[in-house]
Amino acid sequence: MQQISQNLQSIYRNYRVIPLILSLAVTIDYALTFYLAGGIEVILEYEYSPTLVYAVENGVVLPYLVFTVFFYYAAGYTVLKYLMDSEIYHIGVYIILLMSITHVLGGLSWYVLNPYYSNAVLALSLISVMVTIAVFGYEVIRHV
Amino acid sequence: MKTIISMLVATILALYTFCSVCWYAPSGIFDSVMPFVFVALFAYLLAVYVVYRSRVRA
Repeated sequence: MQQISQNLQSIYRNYRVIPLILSLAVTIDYALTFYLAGGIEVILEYEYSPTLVYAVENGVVLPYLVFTVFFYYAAGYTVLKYLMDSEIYHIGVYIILLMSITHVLGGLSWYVLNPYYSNAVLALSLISVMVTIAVFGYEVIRHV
Repeated sequence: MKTIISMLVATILALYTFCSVCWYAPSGIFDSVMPFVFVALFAYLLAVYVVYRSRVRA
């Protein structure tokens, strides 16, 4: 038990590992979507993500996915590295894990196929947006 | 300054996540309204917080 706790602590403090969770989550999200949707026509008709719909319409899904995975890792790495010695490091970890969970649950929405479940995923995504905007605004006000 | 840059990147990341997360959306009208509801709620909470802080400082 103590070993597990120490492992979790070391992962928590590792700003190189946590962004990998986000990159993995988006890969799982898109894999589930393409597997469970059953066809491109279904995705174009029912998928909410504007970026994915654009990528599917223009036939650039693979470059889009590769770019997204690398962008998520780079952005997550930057967020956590700059927060490393601050008192809000835990907020950065929380935001990244929340976005990871959102992506996985979003992919699963193609299994559940329930509008209430989908709107719960939307709510989760909006919560992460609101938290980041609020903390960004607070940090700006605090330093001004 | 580092925390400001970090949270700016986090905000961009969160907004990109909002646009890129896949989910099954059968009701286009309702799903277009929900973001505005959340933005309005957030704006209200922010306004309450700002008023509270200004009164505490006064």
